[in-house]
Amino acid sequence: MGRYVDTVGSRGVSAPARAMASGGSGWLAEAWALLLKDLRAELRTKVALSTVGLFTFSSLLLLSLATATLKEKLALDPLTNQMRPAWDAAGKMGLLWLLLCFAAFSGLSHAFVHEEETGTVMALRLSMSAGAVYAGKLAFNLLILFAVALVVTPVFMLITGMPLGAPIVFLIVMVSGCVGLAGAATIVGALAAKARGSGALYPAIGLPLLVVFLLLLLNAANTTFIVHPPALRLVRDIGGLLSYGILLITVSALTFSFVWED
Amino acid sequence: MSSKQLIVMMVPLIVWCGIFAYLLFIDRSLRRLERDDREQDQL
Amino acid sequence: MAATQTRPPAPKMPEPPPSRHTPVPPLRGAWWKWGLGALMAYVIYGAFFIAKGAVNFTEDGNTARIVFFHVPCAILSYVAYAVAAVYAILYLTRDRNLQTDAKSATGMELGFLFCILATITGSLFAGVMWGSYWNWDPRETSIIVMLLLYASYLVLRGAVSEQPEKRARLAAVYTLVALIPATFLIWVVPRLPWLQSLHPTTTLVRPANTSLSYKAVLYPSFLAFTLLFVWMFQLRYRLLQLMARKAGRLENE
Repeated sequence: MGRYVDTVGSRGVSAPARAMASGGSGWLAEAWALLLKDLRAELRTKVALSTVGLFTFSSLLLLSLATATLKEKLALDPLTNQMRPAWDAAGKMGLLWLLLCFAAFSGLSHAFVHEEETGTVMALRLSMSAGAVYAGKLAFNLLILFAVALVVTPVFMLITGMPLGAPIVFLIVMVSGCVGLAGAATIVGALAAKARGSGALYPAIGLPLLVVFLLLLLNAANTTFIVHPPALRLVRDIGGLLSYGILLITVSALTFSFVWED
Repeated sequence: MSSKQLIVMMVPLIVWCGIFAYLLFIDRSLRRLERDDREQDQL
Repeated sequence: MAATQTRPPAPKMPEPPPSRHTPVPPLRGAWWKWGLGALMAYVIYGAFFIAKGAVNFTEDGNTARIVFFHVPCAILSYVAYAVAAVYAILYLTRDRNLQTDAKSATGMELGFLFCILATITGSLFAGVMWGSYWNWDPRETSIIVMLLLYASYLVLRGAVSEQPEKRARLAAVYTLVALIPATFLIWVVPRLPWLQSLHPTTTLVRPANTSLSYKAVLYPSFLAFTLLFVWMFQLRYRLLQLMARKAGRLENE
């Protein structure tokens, strides 16, 4: 029997039932397919990467110009009563993440807005479940953010002289930050795209989420650069940062289908 | 109690009386609208 | 390729029952409002004449009197958010009734209002206590970001105002998603070690030994503000209902 479009397969069981019976791996495959399609489109046009990359690099340039003299300044640390650099390591990490947040503002809304603008939303809704769409878009945003962070962080460290601290801790902080930022950016992008069909609302809606994220990140940054931090403190501060991202992604995954339906 | 303390106390009291009167006014006019609406429906 | 079925579309609800003209149960009528008027007048009077000045406050403890009005506003703005979140969940999962969405929106609007009041009164308090009106101290920062959150919600609602059903859905999702940063703001940010530094914290001064005169005004103040919140909620909700019905009637003509 030739294949024909029908929800009831030749085995007499409907396709969704079969997908669910196979342990739900259907959504993972769908999400992977969506990610590959987005990546392929991205590599072809390089829209999101170039937007984010250009924005970040111009901000880096401005930053290095603006802080040319700041690096030499010293300030009195009230807690230890000693002079220390006015712009300390935690402050530098904060500025790095501020740059990445602005990059997220400028580029990560592309994932959903592009679908709205090109009218491919209906095709997506017909071909895969809401959960798969969310997973695919989240993965895409994560990858873009990882790529940008990977390039920007060394350059930033060169320009500002930010130390590495303990490499594993640094890596975990950066990864947690990317997870949190991508999580916020994805759901806000979806809401903004559905509300207005464009990315215009994106900064307005996303700002509170990102401010809280930055506060938690700065808290974690403070711990990252301590020389011998107690393990409990590391777990508390960096775990706090990671937990924000995970909580946000969980709630977004639960409510995404309500955004996606029409 | 000095006259200054009296004045300081009068300020929030006056503010509250104003807010209260306003809320009461809205409440009663809403009630009137709702009653008219219900009579309209019944007509 | 067989068409994969997305989750079943939300069942089309039957027409919602005609709106009851009664406000949120069980408080109705005017009797408790007069009582509220008297209670609040008592609170204002008591804040100045019954409660004696507290230790650790400037001006012979007289600045503590602001607390009777500032703390309930802050707590109520968080409570309003919780109310809005509950109605948001109800809207999305239970009935898709636009009236439930109206309740959620009312909660957020009132939360916005009380957040503004809390910010202003808190700033005045800081100005009198510590000299400067704004310090970017943990509690102040978190109340400002809460303000931004409410404002973002209202912006989102305004942007989709032509389609009530879509607006309700997106607003409800935003309320729930923003619950995470809101929780962090209310419970975590004021206690972040990085933010503590040397700044004076406006963490709720909980004198375990509040004098009786203090309690005699503080608890009625909480009650008065809560009742005020309920009344304003009812008013705003009834107004939204009336506007919706007028709009419905205009369409049918």
